Amino acid sequence: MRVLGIETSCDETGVAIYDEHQGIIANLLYSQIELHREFGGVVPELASRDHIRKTLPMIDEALLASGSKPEDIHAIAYTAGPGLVGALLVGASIAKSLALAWNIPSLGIHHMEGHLLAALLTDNPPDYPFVALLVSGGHTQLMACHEPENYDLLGESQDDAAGEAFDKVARMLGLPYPGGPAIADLATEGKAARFSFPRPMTSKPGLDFSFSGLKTFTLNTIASLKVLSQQDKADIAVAFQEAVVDTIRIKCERALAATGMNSLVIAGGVSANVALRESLNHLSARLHCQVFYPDFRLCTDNGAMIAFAGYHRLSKGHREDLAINVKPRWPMVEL
Amino acid sequence: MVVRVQLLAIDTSSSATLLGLQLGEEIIDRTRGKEVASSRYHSRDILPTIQQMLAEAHMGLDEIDAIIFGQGPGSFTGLRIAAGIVQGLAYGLRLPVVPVSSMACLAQVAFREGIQCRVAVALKARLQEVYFGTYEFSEGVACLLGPEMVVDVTQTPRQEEGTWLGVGDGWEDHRDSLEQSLGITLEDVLAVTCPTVENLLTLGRWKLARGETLSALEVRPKYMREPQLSGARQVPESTNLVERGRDTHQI
Repeated sequence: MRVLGIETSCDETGVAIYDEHQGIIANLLYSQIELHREFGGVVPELASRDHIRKTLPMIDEALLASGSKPEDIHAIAYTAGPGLVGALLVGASIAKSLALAWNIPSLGIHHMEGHLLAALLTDNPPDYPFVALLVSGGHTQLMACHEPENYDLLGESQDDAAGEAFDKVARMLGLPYPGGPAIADLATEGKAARFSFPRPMTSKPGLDFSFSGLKTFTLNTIASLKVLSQQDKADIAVAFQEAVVDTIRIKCERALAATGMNSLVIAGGVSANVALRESLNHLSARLHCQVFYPDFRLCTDNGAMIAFAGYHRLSKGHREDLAINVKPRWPMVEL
Repeated sequence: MVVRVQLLAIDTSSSATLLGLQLGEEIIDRTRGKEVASSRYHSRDILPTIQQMLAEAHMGLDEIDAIIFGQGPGSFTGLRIAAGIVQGLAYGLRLPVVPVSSMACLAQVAFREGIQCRVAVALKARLQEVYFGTYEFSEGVACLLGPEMVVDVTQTPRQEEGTWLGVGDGWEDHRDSLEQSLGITLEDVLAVTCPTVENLLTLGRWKLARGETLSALEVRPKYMREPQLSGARQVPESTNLVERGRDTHQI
């Protein structure tokens, strides 16, 4: 059984094919980062225009690259939300009409469930139950995952997502979009001891996050320096990154304690951050729990996770009708 | 033996959603929203409606010969939904696609036997701008005279004098400016803003007969206008309802 997966929720066009015996047999990704860089963030109309140009040629290429014929594909999975509505509609329109033409089921996938399941695309996947940290440019959430499709929200960001805070601070420091890798690079040259940034919402109990105040603190720190040297920027980058990483680590530790679970799965674009991985590895060693990350290739948005999630849903007998229906806002607990 | 041509037509460029089938001489028209905007299709209705039309006609999707696609200009998101559907169906069924200008379709509304005049289509775009195109009839179909464009109402290209008919809502507010910049006087204005399935199919059949087709991989909306790029947004955030809603479009 093979499932075609299409991801168009934001600024990456992803197309992949999952085979139940061979795993991911095609995985194409087209990133629009260059297109949006000069605007310091994603321009929805430009993103949608690019998706409608790229998606179908990438489907064609994925079939060719994997030696799949149309009749080898048993279902088409696409990201139905959350995300930019115009971008989601492109993937949904193509996926559902192609599924109609091929007379196979189509399946709308929750983008963050895709990210979550990407961590299971390894030789040694975690067993349920586990705590999942979903951390990206659009989300920062802690979930209790009891079994497939049975998730409880433990806590989430009350304002900016962690990745969004990285992007905004990168802009303040004159670094390119996306901010995560840019700040992580610069931070390697920074002196961690110079600035002390707050760890928001850690002094009180609870599993929610807030990164907006940290952003303001960064802005004030920059304003307090008359001239911003390269070393200043690096020192701020490392202090900011440490504050985000530390905050996330504290909340993960609390979530593990609150649920009594001893596996932690990290998913989403920010899970590629090396400092975050190091911090959580220390945590897992200290608590004798296991921590799982997706393959670096699968940390960003991609079609493979959507194809894989589609395979899961198809095996469970999920089907949907022909209506093109996307959900720009879609809490994962509604799954 | 007469070959019965079977075509699927779709256009989401206007406030109406055009969906139709050509079955030999017969046309099935499932257009919605021409009179009452609230009756227009939501994007979720398009594929089920196509399936219903086919069921009524007792035919399968694989019996369609080509897809006629109203390329625009029009609502960006609307055009992309139609383009996505046309791409998916045409790729999956290995069908040729006939792209048709939605403005030429509007010009076609003015056609009647023996008509001699030329047609200038002007559709409201933004503020002082209109989507603009000129057409004349040849072999019963509206053929493009000059390039279609989006243009300030005072900057339209000068046209030869003669008998001209205006079509579209762009004439409503800007008739004086347009006539002045074009150097013409209209005989009359047809204030239609939505093309029809019949006209879409007329132009589509004509182009199909001339082999003016695209493969699924070549199908694109005809935006004619660059997006406004003031103020990029960050990656979507689940709490940010209002901003996200601005980009929302339903057809």
